[in-house]
Formats: sequence, structure tokens, C-alpha cells
Amino acid sequence: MTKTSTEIQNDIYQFIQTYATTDDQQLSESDFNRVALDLFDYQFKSNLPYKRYAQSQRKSPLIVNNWQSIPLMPIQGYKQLTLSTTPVQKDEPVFMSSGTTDPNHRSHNYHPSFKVWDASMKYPFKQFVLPDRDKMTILGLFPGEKTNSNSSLSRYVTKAIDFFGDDKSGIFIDENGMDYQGIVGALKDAERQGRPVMLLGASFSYVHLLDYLNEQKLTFKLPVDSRLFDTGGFKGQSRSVDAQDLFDAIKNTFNIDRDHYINMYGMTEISSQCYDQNLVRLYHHLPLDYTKAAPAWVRVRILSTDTLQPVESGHAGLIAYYDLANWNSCVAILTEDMGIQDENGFEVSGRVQGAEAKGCSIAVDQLLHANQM
Amino acid sequence: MLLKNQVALVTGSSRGIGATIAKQFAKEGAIVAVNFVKHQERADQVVREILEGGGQAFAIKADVRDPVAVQEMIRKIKDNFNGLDIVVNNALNHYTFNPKTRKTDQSITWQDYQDQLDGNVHGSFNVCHEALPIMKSQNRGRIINMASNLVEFPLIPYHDYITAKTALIGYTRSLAAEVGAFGIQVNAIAPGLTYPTDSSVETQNDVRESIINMTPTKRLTVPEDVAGSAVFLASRLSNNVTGQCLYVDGGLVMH
Amino acid sequence: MKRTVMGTIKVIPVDIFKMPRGITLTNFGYQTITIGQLDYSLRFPIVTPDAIVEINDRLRHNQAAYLSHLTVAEIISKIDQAVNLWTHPDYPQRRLAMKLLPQITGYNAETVELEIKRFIRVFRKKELMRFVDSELDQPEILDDFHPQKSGSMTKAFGPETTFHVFSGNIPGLQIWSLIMATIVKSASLGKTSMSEPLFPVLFDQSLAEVSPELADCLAILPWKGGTMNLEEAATSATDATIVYGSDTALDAIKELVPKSKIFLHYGYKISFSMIGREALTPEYYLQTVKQAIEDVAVYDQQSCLSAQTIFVEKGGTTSPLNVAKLLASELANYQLKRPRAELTNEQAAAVVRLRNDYQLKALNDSDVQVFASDGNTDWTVVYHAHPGFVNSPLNRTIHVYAIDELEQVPEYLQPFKQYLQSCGLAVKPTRLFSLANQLGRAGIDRISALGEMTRAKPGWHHDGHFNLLDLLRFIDVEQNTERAAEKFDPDVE
Repeated sequence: MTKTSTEIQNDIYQFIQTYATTDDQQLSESDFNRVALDLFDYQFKSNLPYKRYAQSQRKSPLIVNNWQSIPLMPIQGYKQLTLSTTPVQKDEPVFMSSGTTDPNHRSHNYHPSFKVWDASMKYPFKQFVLPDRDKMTILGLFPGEKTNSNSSLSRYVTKAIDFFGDDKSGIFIDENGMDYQGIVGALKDAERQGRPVMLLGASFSYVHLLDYLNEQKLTFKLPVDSRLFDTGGFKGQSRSVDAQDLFDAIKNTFNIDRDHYINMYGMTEISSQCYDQNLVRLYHHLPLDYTKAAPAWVRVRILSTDTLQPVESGHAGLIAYYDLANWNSCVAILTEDMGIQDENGFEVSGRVQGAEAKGCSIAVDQLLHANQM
Repeated sequence: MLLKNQVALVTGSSRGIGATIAKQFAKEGAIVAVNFVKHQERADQVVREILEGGGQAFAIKADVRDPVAVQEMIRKIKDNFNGLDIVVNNALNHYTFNPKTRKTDQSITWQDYQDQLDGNVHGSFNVCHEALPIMKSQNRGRIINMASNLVEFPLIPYHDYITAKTALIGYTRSLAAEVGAFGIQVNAIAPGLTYPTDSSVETQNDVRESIINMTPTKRLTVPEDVAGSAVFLASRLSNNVTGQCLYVDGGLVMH
Repeated sequence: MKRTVMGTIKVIPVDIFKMPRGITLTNFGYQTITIGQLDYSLRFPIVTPDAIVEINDRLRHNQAAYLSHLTVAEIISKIDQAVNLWTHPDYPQRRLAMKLLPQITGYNAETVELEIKRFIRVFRKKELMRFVDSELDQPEILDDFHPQKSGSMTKAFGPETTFHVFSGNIPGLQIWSLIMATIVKSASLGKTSMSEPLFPVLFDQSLAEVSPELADCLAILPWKGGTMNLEEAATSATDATIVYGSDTALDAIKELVPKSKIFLHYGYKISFSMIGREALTPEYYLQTVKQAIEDVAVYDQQSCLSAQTIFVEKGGTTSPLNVAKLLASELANYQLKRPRAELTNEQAAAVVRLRNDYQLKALNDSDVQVFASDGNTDWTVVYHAHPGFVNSPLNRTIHVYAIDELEQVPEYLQPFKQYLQSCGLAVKPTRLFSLANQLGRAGIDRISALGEMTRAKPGWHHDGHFNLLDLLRFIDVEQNTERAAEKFDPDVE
């Protein structure tokens, strides 16, 4: 029998509780498969556009017998369709993409309840970002929930501070811009008191902050165990930044080493996050590894751009993301991010750009770009 | 693959010719609805074999003689795939081909005829009646009705069975004439004695040997022979073939 | 790459550069291509800006000493002899090209062979004479002063040296530009792309067989596009710069070219085709479909001459939707005949994204249908029941628009005007020129038959402009000078 909205949320919540900090995906595999199939069945019945898409791919719960064969909703579907298993209510919380690449179309992910989302956010954050402590000073460099209620990252930053921030924590950016003096003050306090801090922001927040500190010739010797959390990427911004240059700048400006830099992979269209494993491994005295790990309720597959079939380990392809926490829209999503995976974890190599035509023909993106100018 | 991602309903496919057709369709890439009425476990076994071979299939229960059950079955298929491309009307009332125990013209009753007509013609009618609106909306569809070569060559006069199968061929032609304009092809397959199947195990060796002797290919038909013709009629290989009855009997019947 | 342990690998060196005699290069890079048991080691020089200046000085010297003294007719004749070498199947350079180009470019070997054979014949003497004639009333004006109707005596000069920046999308295309420059007596410094560095070098070798002095007026070498110091050296040393390729490539180089110098650019273009209802009769529709796909499949749409969109007129015996399906089957057939090149992840992902976009759109919009190869990105047809215009991510991906009347097509082209180039057209004679006129207004600069779109003819006003004239400057000797000069003839009466 198809589950109800409440039943499926409870099942997923239960799954998250059970496997909150399970590293080994083998342990959760059969439960993951069961819940994923139930979830697909539920979404097929209740999310009409997803059902129609599945039908067009000739996929249905009748023949989908393992999570790997659940049809992948192309990420553009979150722009073109209304993907929600429950009727969208007026004033229902919805996350929208910032729409930097295509301002006319923004992804929508509806959240009638945050019970699953919060659980999905909380445990992996603790596991991967704070493996060594329960609370710390978190300096948010991305607008919070109050400033931008339609941003999944804003909610994330706010919740991170709610759950894990001490009383010195706060968000230093709002609709008026970044509070540079506030940040400098907070960093100086931490430096003076020997209290480790976490900077938490989107990649481009750091570009601006580092520029400012560089101009002001300000550097900090942040205490041991301080860390820098970053998400997103630098593409599409006013300027791109080379990874090594960034690590060097972070080291020189904050005294934070590469092994205390942690990157999170998340997006509007999904409801869970994946993290670099270096911090958790460092504090558990395991060999360092900078690949990303997914929580037990997420599976990542890398698909050939040509056949959309899984590639061999170590080969690049499109990231297919299976996320039980995405209970209200689609459990399986085909992203436009390129990635590589091996037995340890996966890496994201960035958004697929418009194909660079070899010759004098125009690729779609370039033309769009040309017409915008 | 000739039937990649086409949705195919094979009635009565938990065993015998139907099961073989289901498996062959799946090998050609079809998504097969394995219909059964009583033997869920045998249908599940067919589905399992298909899945193990990398195919796609599911078991679906319905007594084709019951219009309501058929309606529900087709609704479920449509709800899952928003389409139905191929129907094989293979289900029949169980029939035992035993020349020694068959009913003669005097021992047979009208009810025997009625039962065969219900199983064969009414069953096909029920399924087609529900499937055709979907096929019409797709402007595409294939219907295959399972007849018998006994219609042309009543070697052993199984009265009720032969009468019903003859009616089914008439039904096939008449329907083909009506729905051809919608891109739907309706054909029949008339197998000879197909061995081994549940229905034919009681046909004694001497009878089988005498049929073999008369048959140009010097062998009986096997389920795979019939399945091959079914793939032909279900696929683009038979484009523009409709209202025909294909004899798969080693040349016993020739036209 | 797997190799048999037992087999021995033979290494064959191939130079993918060509220098005038007297230039010595010492620093080289290598790239290896393996075909069966053979390794081809492609050697190319790694140069400095100083070397570029030195090469240009040498070219300038050779131009003055030799090329500037040849007549146009002599130049054409020498090129014709070189072209003739290429019409022999056993010509070693041709065999090497046919062997290596499919490996280097990824294009189907048969396509490369067929297209190179066709392409090289475009440069035979008679064709080149037509080409020159189409732009210059008196081709001899390049050789000597000729009287003009205005009364003056005029001579034309090309650049002494020209810097060509080639893109590598279509094998062999580079020699179009090189021959053009040679005809106006300019020496050439050609920068090739590593995606096709071979053909111009092989052709220059052929020129060397015919006339070593002429070959010495060409220098060909690859470097990575955007290498600022080399490109700056090349643009300021030469008299003219011709750039093929993307807007990005263009912008970078344009900055470097001194204002006083000639700068030509052949950039991004979109082409499309239009099928009139009269080409969709029972007699012709299959042939029409086949030809339309030729324009799409040859070189996988990488040429700016390839159709990206096809307009199909309603009212033929075959509906636009059915034409779209037939185009899809023909693409499937073509894939069996001549498979498409393998794509980079970016290219394949672009096709996947396009399919996803339109498949999602089709869920709510029955006016859109997607026909696509199964299980890979080999080919894609997006059918639109209502007219519009959009370009394609290429690699055998097309849009098919149904339209009531082809005469309405120009309405949809407006936003793309600056990018429009060729139109493949299948209509009856009475519509041809009125449609051509409309298309000309809309920005199209070339109309061809279906199936011929990718094979431009010499004399085509490339991207709507002159080929030779834009490279020339003229000197007029006014009649009064002559008259005045006469006075100084001591023997005049």
C-alpha cells in the first residue's frame, strides 16, 4: 500500500535517527532500498508532474525494484514544473534558487514541514563539521533566514548557529551587505581569548571578505581548531578563484590550514548535504581524505554524459543524487554537476558549462549570454 | 531490441505459450504485464525469471472473462505507464487436448461451447474494449489473438475449442478492419500442437508421432516458435500487416 | 589504450609545422597518436615572441623577393599544380591526411575522406579564376597598373604578411584562408589549433613540391590559443590579421591588433534550412529528408554552414510532424553509416540538457515532441508544432519547426540577425527569389540547395563580405600625373 505523507515522513525520520552517523553505506543499504522504493511509490502517486515524467520514461513503481532504477528528475524540472506531493499552500515555505545563471527561471522546492529537513541537516553537520565538539563560535557570512526566507542556505546557516553556535555566534551579513567591522571584531576577540571559531559562508562571501582584509592589511592568528566552512563555487561570479590561491589566502589571512577547510555540497533542489571528510578523519586520527561523503539517506551515482549509465569508479560524469530527505518532491535527481567517485567518496568538479563549440557555431549558453548583453 | 520500453500485456502468461511470449517480449526490451487469474506464484516466477535476465515485468491479476476485473487491470497499467502498446490475448479456459477423452458431438453440451466462447472470444473482447481507447490515443498499437491451426485442419474435432477459435479469427479480422485507421494492427497466430505445455501433455505419444509424420518440418511446434511470431507481429517487422492469421505449425496448414 | 604485448610499436615522426627555409627551431613538444601498431609522433615547435618576429621577417623577405613578383595567373597555376597532387589517391600527403585526420578530429573516416576530396577540388585553376573574377574586374590589377574608367591608373597591393588564427572545427578549412592571402601576394603566418594542426602543413608541403620559393612564403605552427605574448608579437609584426573562431578568441586578439592594420574576423554563425511543401510530394519527400540530414550529419554540425534548425512547411503530402520522424529515422540510419564523433563531457551534457528541457516541456505541452537515439546522445530531433527559432547544441541535434508558410520564417529570425549565415532551401522556382530577397533582408548571406549547405563554393561572399577586396589597398595614379610626366619626356613633341 502506498504510504501517506505522514507515514512516509515518519519512516524517513526513523531512518535518519537509525543511521544518523553511520559511515558505511552497506549497513543501511537494504533499509535505504526499502524506504527509497516506498518513497518513489508515494511520490508517483502524489506528485503528478513527477509521475508524468516517470511515465514518459516508462518507469513506475510496478517495475522499479531497486533504488538505482528510480527515474531521475532532471534538475531543470524544479524550474519548469511544480514538484510537490502535497497541495502547495499559500505562504508555504519554499526554497528558490538564486537564479544567477537564468534569472527568469528559478528552481522551487516546497517544504510543508521541516521535521525531516532539520534532522537531515543536524546529524551530518555534527559528524563532519564539528567532530571534536558540540558547540563553537560560528560566524555566519551568508544572510540568515530572516533576510532571505526563500534560500535553503540561509536556513542552513541559521540552523547551524541555532543548533551548534555558542553565545558569541552570529550572522554578519544582511540586506545591507557585509558587516566587515563586526567580523574583524569577532575575529580579534577570538584571537585574544584563544577561542577557536568557525567561519561559515558561501564561496563568494570569502572572495569579498578576503579582498577587504587584504586591502586593510589585516591578518589573524586564529586559535588551533578554528575552521573555515564554505559552500558553492566560484564560477559565474565577478571573478574566479584558483583553489590553491584560495587555500593560500586562507592560511595567510586566518592561519587556517587546508585540513581545517571544509566544503559542503548542497542545493535548493535537494534536502540534505554532503561534506568533505577531512575534518572527521583528522579528529578520528584516520588518513586524510578530501573527498566528500554522503549521509546514509543519500546515494550518489556518477553517470556517463552520453549514455546516462553509471561510469566506472574514478571516471567523470554527471552526478545523480538520491535523497530520502527530499520526500516532498523527487527522491532522485539528475544534477548538472560533474563529479568523480571512488570507494572513498566523491568530488564535485563543477557545473557543466555550455559546451564550447569547437568551431564557429554558437553554443546555446553563449548565445543566451550574447543576447543578454 | 525490437520492443524497447513498449508496454505489453500478455493474458494468461503464468505458464505455457503465454509465459514464453512474456519472456521473449522482455528479452526484446518490452515492459511485460504478466497476467494471471489463479496462480500468483507461477506468475511471480515468470516475473522473477524476466528480472533476473535484466528485463522488466510485473504480475497482474485479472480474470479476462470478468469485464470489471479487466477494466481495473487496464486502468492500473495506464496509470503506471500512461500507455499500452501490445496486447496478446492468450488466456483461455483450461483445455485438455486428449483425443481419447474428448467430447463427441453427442456428449458435448452447449455449456461447453459457451465456456470456450467466454474464455476465448469474450475474454479477448473485454481486453480489447479497454485497451483500444489507449491505443487510439497513441495512434499506435498491436493486438495479437491466439487461435489454432485446428480451425483449418480439425485433425481431432475438439468441437467447442475449434468453434471458439474460429470465432476469434472472425473477431480478429473484423476488428482489424475497424481500427487500422488508428495505426492499430490486429492479427492472430494459429499454432499447431505445441509441446510441451500443460494443455498438451495429455496428448498421447502416438497422436504426436502421427502429427509429426504429417508435418513438413517433421517436428511439433515449441512455445519459442510461437513467441518468435508474436515478436514479429508485435514489432515494426510486421508494419502494415493486419487482419492476418499466421500459422505456426511446421507447414501442416498451407494457404 | 590496450596493446598486444607481443606486437612491436613502430614510431613514425610527423611534423605539424612548416617553416620557410632558413628558420631553425630548437625547442619542440610532442603528441602521440596511436593507430593500430603505429605510433605517430606529432612534433611541434615551442616558440618565443622573438622567434615569431624572426619568422615574420623571413616571410616578409621572401614575399618581397619572390611572391610579389609573381603574377596572379602564375600563383593560381602553382596552386592548381599542388591541388592536382591531391587528386591522386596514392599521394602520400593525402594518404597521411586520411589516416590521421579522423584520429585527430574524431570525425568519421569516410566523411573526412569524402569531404576532403570534394573540398580540395574547390581550388582548381578554373575555380580560383572564377573566385578572383568574382571580386576583381581586372585581376591583373594585382600585377600592374591598369587604366580605370575614371581615368586613373590603379594597382592593388595586398598585405606583405598576414597572420591567420585558425579554428580546428573543420579539417582542411585553413587552406581557404591561406590561398586567399597567397593570391593577393601576401605571405602567411598561420597559427593552427591542436584540434586540427595537420592539413595546412601537408598542403604547404605540396606547394613546396611545386615551388619551394612559394612554400617559403608560408609558415604554419600551432600554439595554445590565447598565448598573449606570441599573439601580440604576431599581430604587431604582420600587416593583417584574420581570425576564425569563437567570440572569446576574437575579443582577446582584437585588443592586440594595432588600429592601423587590417583585421578580419569570421566568427560564430548559425545556419538553417527551409523545406517548402512542394519538396514534400510523394515523389520527393524521402529524397528531401535525406538531403536535409546531409547538412546536419556531415562534420556533426561543427561547421557554421551546418543546419541547426529546419523549417517544414505545412500543406505538403507529408506533415511536418512526419517529416520530423523521418528526419529522426534518417539520422539513425546515418549513425549506422557514419557514426558521429565521440563527445566531450561538456558537449554530451549539453545534448542531455536540451533533451531534458524539451522532454519536461513535452509533459505539459503536446506541441513539443522529442525524438532521440536510445541510450546515448547520437542524435536528437526536437519537433515544435508552432514556429520559432533557436540554435542547437550541435552534434546532430536539430529543431524542426512546423510553419504555415515559409514566407513567415524571417519574423522568427530577427533576434539572431547578427549570427545568421546559410540557408538550405527546397522550394519551387517561382518562390525562390522572393524568398531569397526576404532572407537577405533578414541577414542571411548564402542560400544553397539542401544537402549542399556544408560545401560553400569559391566566390561566396564569406559571411556576406568580400574575401580578397577586404585585404587590398589601392594606389591610383591620376591622369594629370601621366600628363605631367609626358611633359618631362625629352623626346616628346
